[in-house]
Amino acid sequence: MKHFFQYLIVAACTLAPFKTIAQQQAFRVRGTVTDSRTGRPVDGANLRIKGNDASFLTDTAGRFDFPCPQTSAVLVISHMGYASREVVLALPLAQPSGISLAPDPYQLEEVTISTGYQTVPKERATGSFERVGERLFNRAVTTGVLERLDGVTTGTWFDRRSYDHNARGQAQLTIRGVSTLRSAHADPLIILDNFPYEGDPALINPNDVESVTLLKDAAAASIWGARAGNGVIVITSKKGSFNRPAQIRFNSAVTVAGKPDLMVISNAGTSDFIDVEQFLFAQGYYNATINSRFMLPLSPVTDLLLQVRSGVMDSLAAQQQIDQWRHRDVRKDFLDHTYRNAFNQQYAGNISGGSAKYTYMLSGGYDRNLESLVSNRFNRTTLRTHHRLKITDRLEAEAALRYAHENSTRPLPGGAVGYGMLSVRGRTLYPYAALIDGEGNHLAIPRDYRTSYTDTAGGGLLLDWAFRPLDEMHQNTQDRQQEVRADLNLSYRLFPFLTAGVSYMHQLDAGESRQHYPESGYYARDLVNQYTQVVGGRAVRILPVGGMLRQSHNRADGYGLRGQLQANQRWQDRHHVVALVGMEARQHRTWNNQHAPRYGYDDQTLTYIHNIDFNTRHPIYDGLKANTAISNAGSLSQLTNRFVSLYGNASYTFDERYVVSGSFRRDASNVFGVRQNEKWSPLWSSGLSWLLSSEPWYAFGAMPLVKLRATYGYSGNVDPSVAAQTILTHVSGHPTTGLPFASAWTGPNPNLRWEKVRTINFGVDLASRGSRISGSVEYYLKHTHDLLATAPLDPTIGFGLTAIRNAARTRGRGVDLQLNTRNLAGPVLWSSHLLASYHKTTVRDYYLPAPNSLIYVGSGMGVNPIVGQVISPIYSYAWHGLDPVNGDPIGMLAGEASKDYYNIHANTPLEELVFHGSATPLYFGALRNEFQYRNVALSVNVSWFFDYYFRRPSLNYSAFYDSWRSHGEFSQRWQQPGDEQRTNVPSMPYPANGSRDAVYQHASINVLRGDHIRLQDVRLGYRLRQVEIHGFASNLGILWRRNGEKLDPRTLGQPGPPRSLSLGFTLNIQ
Amino acid sequence: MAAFTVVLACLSGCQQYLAVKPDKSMATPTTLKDLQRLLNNIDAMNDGFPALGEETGDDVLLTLANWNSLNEIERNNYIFNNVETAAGRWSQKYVAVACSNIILEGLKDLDEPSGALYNREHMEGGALFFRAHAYFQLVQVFAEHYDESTAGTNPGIVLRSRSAIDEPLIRATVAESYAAIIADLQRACSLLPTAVATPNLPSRAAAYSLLSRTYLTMAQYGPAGLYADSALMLHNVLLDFNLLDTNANMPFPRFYGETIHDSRMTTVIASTGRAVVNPELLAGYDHDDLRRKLFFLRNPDGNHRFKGAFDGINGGTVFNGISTGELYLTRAECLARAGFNDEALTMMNELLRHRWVSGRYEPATRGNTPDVLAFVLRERRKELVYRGLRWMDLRRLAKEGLITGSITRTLGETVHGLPAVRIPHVAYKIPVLAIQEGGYIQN
Repeated sequence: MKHFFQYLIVAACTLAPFKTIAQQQAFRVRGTVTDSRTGRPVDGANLRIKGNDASFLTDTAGRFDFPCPQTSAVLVISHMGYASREVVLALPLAQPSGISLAPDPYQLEEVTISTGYQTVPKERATGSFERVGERLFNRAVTTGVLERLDGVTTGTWFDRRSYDHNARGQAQLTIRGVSTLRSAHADPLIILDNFPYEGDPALINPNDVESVTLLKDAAAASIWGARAGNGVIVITSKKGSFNRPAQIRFNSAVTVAGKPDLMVISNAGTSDFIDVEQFLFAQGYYNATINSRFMLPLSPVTDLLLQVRSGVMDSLAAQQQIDQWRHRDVRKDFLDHTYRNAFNQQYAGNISGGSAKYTYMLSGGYDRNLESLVSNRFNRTTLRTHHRLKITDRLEAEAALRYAHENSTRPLPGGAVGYGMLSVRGRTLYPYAALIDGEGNHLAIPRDYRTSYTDTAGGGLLLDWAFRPLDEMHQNTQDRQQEVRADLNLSYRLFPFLTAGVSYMHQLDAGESRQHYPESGYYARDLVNQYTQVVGGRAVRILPVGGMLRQSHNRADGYGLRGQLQANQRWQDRHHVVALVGMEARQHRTWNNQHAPRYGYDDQTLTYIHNIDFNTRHPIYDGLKANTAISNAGSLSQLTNRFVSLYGNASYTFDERYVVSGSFRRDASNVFGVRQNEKWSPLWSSGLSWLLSSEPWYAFGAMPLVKLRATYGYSGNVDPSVAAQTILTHVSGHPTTGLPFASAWTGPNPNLRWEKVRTINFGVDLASRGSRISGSVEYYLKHTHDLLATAPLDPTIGFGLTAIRNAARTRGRGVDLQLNTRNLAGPVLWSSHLLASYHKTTVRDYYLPAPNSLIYVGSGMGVNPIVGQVISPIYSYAWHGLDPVNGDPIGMLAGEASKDYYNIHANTPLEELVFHGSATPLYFGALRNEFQYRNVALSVNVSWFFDYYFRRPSLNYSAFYDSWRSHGEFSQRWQQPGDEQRTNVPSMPYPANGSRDAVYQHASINVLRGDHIRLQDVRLGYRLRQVEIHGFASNLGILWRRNGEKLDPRTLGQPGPPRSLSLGFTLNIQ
Repeated sequence: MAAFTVVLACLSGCQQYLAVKPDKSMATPTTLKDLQRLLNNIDAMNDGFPALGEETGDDVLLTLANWNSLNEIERNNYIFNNVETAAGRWSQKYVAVACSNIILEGLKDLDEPSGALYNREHMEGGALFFRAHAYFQLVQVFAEHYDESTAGTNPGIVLRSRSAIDEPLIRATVAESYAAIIADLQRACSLLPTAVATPNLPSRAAAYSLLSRTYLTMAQYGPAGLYADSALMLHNVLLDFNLLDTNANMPFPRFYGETIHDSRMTTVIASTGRAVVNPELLAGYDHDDLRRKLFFLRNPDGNHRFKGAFDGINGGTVFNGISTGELYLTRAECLARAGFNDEALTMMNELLRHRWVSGRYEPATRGNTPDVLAFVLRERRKELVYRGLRWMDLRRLAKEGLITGSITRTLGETVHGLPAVRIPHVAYKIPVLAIQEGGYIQN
């Protein structure tokens, strides 16, 4: 372990780093610090003369040399991972002193944890804190902060079931299960250095992070009151240390990730697809589309068939053309032209240090990510300074300033060229589309209108009306975001035991989102054409030829002001009280200004046309749409959230063995409404811990550390978007009437209450002698009351089909286990780190009428409360095979085989549904093995997810016909009697029947076990003096999975994050 | 310490500090302006009427191919086998009811007097009108036809008097439903202005018209005729169809001059790209009748589609508002039923003169028109095509025995029929979600 430690803190090796700190020339204290077990020098050990503030560090050879004014001194030597020692010295020394330190791995655990209000030594904590220190945090190479917690923390699950291969991949993080029934509000609260962080988490540079602490139970989190119900993540930034010479650290990494694996998406073969199109055409399925005056787009096959039908084309020639298309797969075009290997660069550096009275830290970082979809980029620049100053013995000031700038691009709405984003008027792209021809010319695909129409409309008087996806792929939405945050803390020691502190935080955000539709782009050309009338052989353009610009600006400011008194008193050497009480006021405001679109915009000259008639409902070319006014709509919004809180926290330690702790908090906010503020009872928690191993009678020497903990308490969960009164939303002007109007989107709900979470946590911390084995086990109960749910609402009420109401009580149970073992010591060091979690939330009570059972069958993505059942269950219709006569699916109704699809779909009672299990893993965790030989370190993390289910993608004929969304199992469908022996895929019906599709798709046969084990990541590091070089590979794939279909349950069988490999180095100079 | 005092001071001003509105654009309705803006919300108030009746009537037909391209709920509806109704068909108009109730409650709570911009009476009248219009259209599809003998017991629709989401609700009877509509409209008549900026806002003429329509549906021809007359006193514009372009895709501009009230129904079956006009209806138009070309367009396959909505919008939403033509026809029908045949014919001639090629219309007289009522009803169908009105007419005329036989749907070899005697008893299924959450009696 010590080698790991050395590997982490790269202390300096200059021989004279201490001169600057010498205050007074006197005797020299010099010598060497070595490891008592190996005899190797200890690098970076801290030396201090007792009663003196100044401290000194050993160099890489373990040497120290510093002045001391006294003739005799007690030298205190400490180092993480070693037991501290005190050595009495008589000066001057006759010879350099040789000091050996005994390794004490329990010392590694002795860390302070930050709650955002105070830092607490872990041994005095009663609650459930999980700290990810700098080394573990920096093990992974990522752009964001939260991703680095994946696979290295217990009780946390990164839900990637909604992963979108075209977007910046953010996973939904849950800590100890969901505490809310609305997935949109399940995010944990993020605290960045003392105050909640309200900005975009992507703006936090992970290189500025010193540690992250998860607050998992009530005793840990309830200090954050009404927003802590989903768990709290406290991010602590790096700071300089007192008495530490200047240290420079620079690190850089490049990451390459593959293109999304589009071939994982199961589609019907192109030839099958064309056959279905021909069949549908023959059935007259497209007649309504063909007859539409709006010239709705047709696929090339349908277009050809129509030409044959109207006698314009020879049927043989058409078939030949169609047959040529049977071998195409448009995904290849996408992979070749609109995706690339993602390439991320990260650079960060900092300088830190400090004297006896002053510390500093200056840091900067730059990230430049070229994402896989060519239109997507992400750049981030961060700068940060932090200073601490001991103004007097009693007064200490701390100031930090943080600046972040983000510049990113994403596809334009409607102009996106990712696979799955292009649509043909509500349908997915047909598989035989081609984006480019053999000569490299970009090809057009139908989008809003029929190709044969746009090719000829206007007789040359209109702008080119073709949509060529590859021409559009570099158009994008540009988002810029800037953030400045200043933190100021003052603390004043009133009495030796009492400190008063004031903290102030101010944050400013400004951002812009810019969507430029260039004149040459399809969007602008289409718009101009729509507003063109051909009169007497001339094109009359209501809208000028040119581009269009849509811009929005946002601004946010926030402050937090906190006053706090903190007491810390020991007496009789056995009693120790730490207490704090404080008040806090916070405000966060955001403004958003969506500007009206600018037409005729020229990006070169920054000019646009302003004298456009926005009031008339103009005719649309050829009556393709109803007369429509040109949109001139913009919108403004302003949000203000204010909180006032009163809180306190105290702990009493007796004889270093018994700790009692308690906390309370009361919040009031302008989002609650007056009645809620009055009713809101304080949230509180209490806890106990007992260091069993310090009892005089404790005699189990093999286990020198045993600590028991228990806590109980409450936290809450509020959602600013839910209100008890009627809420109107105002809109500036209706496109039809031009009049400002308002809609009522929530009805008055005077009984609304806020969610309350009660947690009971039991923990045991253990360490064996020499810490060969150490770890902790926690068992918790998490009861939530008055859970808000988006529950079905009687549509007669008039506020839509759902409403957010207090709907349920749930009971969560779980176990978090952490076990660290040192398996090998010697030339090869090998340690293992096991993180295992179990979590299950069950619904105890549901206040509202039980919804129709049809909402329970499905993907399990939503949370569907059924009393006594897991919170996100997967249910299915019972399956009875295929009808041997015609391949119809057979379901079950009232215990009998049935083809009454409508009633199976709509009216199967809950008791008759097949229950599979939870849609989220009940058991999950990771095992990390770390090896070190000389300067080479290898770390391999394997994660697992057990006991859950997912619904595999399957074939839906209605979706196939209506929107061209197919599935590869189409080729295995029932086609003739006897096929029911080999397949479960129903025969192809016409017309399609949505209930029949649902009975098959939601049948029990389509639910698979999600259990799998994946190679989470691998890190290889090599250390050479001040430089550490590392490689990090992640998303390496699945080692084992329970389902036999090779589907990745993490993304429900859809493409997941591609493999990525990073290479980087860290340089430390002192 | 100074800063600490600041915190304390801040907390003492807590009440004011926390009184600030969280979202400036989200507001609890606290001013007349807020309420007026709810009234201006045409998406909620004027749109989304259920077109189930129109889809079941005899003007709209589907080819087998187009029928096959629908989902099964719509397919079943088309062949008179209503198994299930999409939630939106019911819920969308209850949004208008909720908004109306918010306005009415808001007016009670607010002391703010009427000013130049916001008039309390107009707003109250407007809210009552919108609520009544929603109820009226809902009761046409979700309850059996009004019949004096059974109206007191047959279930009607759900009447909402408050906006709170926890109000317990039941279905009123048909009689109570109609009584509520009439009460709202009668009060609205006394409050609404005679002139409005655009016909999406309710006017007094619109309230009279809707009262007339309500009484007509109840077969109370006396008040139906009188209210039609009252409405015509305020708005009797008939425009000459000769001024319109018969070749245009959408011949009638939005807010066409004859529009007294502008509203739309939502439909899948009757959407103009899919539905085919009943050839029997089409055959009824004279060659010189401009409506034949202004209302209909020939498809490549020889069928005809509708293009004559009075709001210039074709597709999945179809105009079902109130126009002068409807009032002429209602007035004429009521006159004819009361025996004033000459007066009825005068009304009819005035209307049709504006519909035919100039100079071609030969006025109807007692001589050439022996059965005036039948003539008026025939013309009523031809003028009020695709307005959702045919269903109401079918129900009352079937009840009176003026329509016999069956409405038929031919799909390939199969013919589905709805006998005329069943028409007044058709009541669509209330959506499952409402039944389940509200516990109402299902039809």
